[in-house]
Amino acid sequence: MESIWLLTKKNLQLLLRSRSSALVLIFAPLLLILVLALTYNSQGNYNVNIGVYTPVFSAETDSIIGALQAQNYTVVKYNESIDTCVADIKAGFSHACLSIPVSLVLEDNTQKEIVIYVDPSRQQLVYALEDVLKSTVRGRSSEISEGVSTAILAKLKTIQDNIAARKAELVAIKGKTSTATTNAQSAKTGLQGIDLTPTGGTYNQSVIDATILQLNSTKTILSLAVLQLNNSNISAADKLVLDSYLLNTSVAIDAASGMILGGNGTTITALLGQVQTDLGAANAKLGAAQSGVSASSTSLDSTSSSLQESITSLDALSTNLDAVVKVITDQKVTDPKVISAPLTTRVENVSPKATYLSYLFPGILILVVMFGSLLLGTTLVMIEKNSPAFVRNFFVPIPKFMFVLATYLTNLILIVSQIVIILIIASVFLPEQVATFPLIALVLFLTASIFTFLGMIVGYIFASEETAVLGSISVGTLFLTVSGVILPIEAISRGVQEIMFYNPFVVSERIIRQVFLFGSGFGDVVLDLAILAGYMLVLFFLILLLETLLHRHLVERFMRGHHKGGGPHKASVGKSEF
Amino acid sequence: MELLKLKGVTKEYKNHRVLDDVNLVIEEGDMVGVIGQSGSGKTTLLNIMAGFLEPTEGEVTYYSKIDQADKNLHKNFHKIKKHMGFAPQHNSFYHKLTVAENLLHFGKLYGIPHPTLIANIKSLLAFMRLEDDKHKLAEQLSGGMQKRLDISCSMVHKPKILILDEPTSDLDPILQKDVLALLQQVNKQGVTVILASHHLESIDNICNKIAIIHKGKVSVQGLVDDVKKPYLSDHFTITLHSGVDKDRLLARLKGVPILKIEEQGKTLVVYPSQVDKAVAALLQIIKEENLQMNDMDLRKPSLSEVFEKIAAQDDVPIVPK
Repeated sequence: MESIWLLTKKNLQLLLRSRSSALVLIFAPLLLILVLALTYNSQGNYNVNIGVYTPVFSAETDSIIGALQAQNYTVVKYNESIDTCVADIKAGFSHACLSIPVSLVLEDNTQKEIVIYVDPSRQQLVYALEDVLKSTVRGRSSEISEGVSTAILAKLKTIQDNIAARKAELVAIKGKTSTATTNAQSAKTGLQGIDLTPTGGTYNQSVIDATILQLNSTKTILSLAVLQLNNSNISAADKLVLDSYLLNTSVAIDAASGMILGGNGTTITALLGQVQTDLGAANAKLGAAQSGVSASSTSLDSTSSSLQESITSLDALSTNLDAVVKVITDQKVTDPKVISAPLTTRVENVSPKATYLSYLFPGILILVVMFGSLLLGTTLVMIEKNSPAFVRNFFVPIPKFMFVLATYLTNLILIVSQIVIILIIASVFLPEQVATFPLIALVLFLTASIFTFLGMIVGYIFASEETAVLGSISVGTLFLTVSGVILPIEAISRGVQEIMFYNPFVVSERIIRQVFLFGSGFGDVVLDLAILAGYMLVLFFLILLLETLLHRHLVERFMRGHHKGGGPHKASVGKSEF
Repeated sequence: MELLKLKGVTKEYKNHRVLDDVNLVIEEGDMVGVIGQSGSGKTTLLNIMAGFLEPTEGEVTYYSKIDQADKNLHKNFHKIKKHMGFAPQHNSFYHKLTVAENLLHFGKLYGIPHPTLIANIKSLLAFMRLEDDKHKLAEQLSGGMQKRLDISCSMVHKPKILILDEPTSDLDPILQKDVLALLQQVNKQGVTVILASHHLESIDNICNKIAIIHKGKVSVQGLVDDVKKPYLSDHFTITLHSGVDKDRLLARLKGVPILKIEEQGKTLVVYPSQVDKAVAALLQIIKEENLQMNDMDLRKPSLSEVFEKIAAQDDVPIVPK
């Protein structure tokens, strides 16, 4: 047991006394955890940029934007064209775009469609993002639906209030109508009470006719008499004639008089008496009728008044009903489907549908190149550093940067070989992408250069090959962790994310994705290429600086490491060595 | 011509003084052996002379034939380094390259024109007896051959100064002799050779000059015999054929500068006050008396003995001769 502890203690001492080993084995994990903790110490929501396009930003669009911002998403507004937003997705500046119609106000039974543009190649993010955006739109849709329903209910309430208010009027109209009915009934009764039956029987008018005839005859005689008188000089004969005429007139008159005063009721007097009697009866009836008519008239006046009031009330009611009808007709949205879901979403992919390999290819490619370059860079430097010939190179009359360039070139040749193999394999599985390979090769060249230089730096810093390789893997892991390939880069805290946007891994992967998935050309990615080229140059000069600063130190360390400390010990002098 | 001069060179590592006020002169054509105990500063001294390390104090100069003046070696190292060859303790070549590839690689790095380089390599391979193995991987060579290859790599550009740190370490005695003999031949070709070695007997044999470093200081430097001179033994022995002869010799010692004589059988241990005169006088008596002498041991000290004595003096500095 003691020996185990002794050996363990020795191992620990050896490890801790080698500074680089201690650094890598003890502090590297702590550092990694610290970095990751700082990096991913963000809240649940991803740091996602969501572009919102609408021709005119209004309160409705602002409500959606507000909902997204409330979930800690960064909203970028676009009002020129949705294409700008889509281009930003492809460039990696935005993660999704919402295309919102000019107005979200429902005008008829047509649903409003919001188009969600996403990049399907961002596998870790796209589905979550779709859910979030759909959910946000659903939320807004529910709000609009609630608004529409509330409006409908408010209208119903208005109608209800109107109807309730008009109910009293209807009761009044009913009362008035009822009164009118009673009055009309009363008038009817009154009118029905009027006796309009004939009071007399049949009058014999022949008497009157005969009288009239007699009288006409008399008249004629008299006319003759008058004529005679006028024509004669009043002679006897004339007188006789006149007398005759007059006599006849007298007879006629008597006859007429008899007719008038006859006793069997056939005379005019009788007739008149009968008529008078009848007239009296008629008068009585007319009097009663007058009273009845008067009463009926009053009733009818009352009825008329009631009806007039009813008409007025009905007019008012009609107006109100018109208003109610207008309220109802004004409600354009009546389709239950539209009311329940006023907003719909449609997901549009900004890249053509492809296989998972296509989506994963950029990340895999950069991953291979990164680790390959890092490890090769480190290994080549370590091989050179630990080579027995390292010291001899100190004397050769060539600039130090030639060694750096040679290491870089060696690494590049190996990496290029790897890239060629990868691209050949890729051309088998993704033949449609072959045209993009030249640009991809350029990106990979820059990426390989950057990570080669980084690997070389690691190689220069660390002492032993094992720790250098561990250091190199740690560096690669760090880049990978914050690259978005394993964990979405959007989950990184905002500040770190902004820095990580320039992570060479991220930049390279972004370019490859743009070229590979979106068919972007050189001009589209020239800025990112410039960033990579910048990294490459900076790292190259950093290596030169490092090499210059460290070379003598490395040589000294090398010499110490290879110094056998030989020499004649005092105790051994004169013995076997000499 | 004084090719290299170290003037008051001091080297410190984190308050630890490895070399302390070292003064040393290397002349053109010298073959200088640097010896010292472990940690005495030999390798540091060689590294400073080779240009690897810069002294904390003092300077190393070289004689520039172009400028006809001494120039600071470290400030002008880029000018002089192509004239220097250095073979550190370990073999400094690529184990996965063949003998010829190694020589070709380093030769090309020195910018030697191809035909010249090929000629150099051929002669070097012949000189180092590596011709038959030129296509072997370096790692497949024996220890002695690897050392020869290492020296060849240091010489492929025909340097004027060849500095070797422990060139015979890890080699068996036969290989040690082999390598040292080669170095002697290199020196005879006009190359100034500076080497540190454990093999003091060989240094004694092949070097014309030595520098002994003790506790960071050059205790002694100069021609080997000059260095040894102060350390000649304080006595010598004479073994005579018979006891009679011994007695006859003892009887005639009057006037001879001798402090003391010890008798050990037929051998006399003589402690002279003046070695030269005492030896001459004794030889004269033996001749005159016709005595028979079996042996006379003048006890010239070996380099090991000199080194032991210097080391024994501990902190007492010895004035360079």
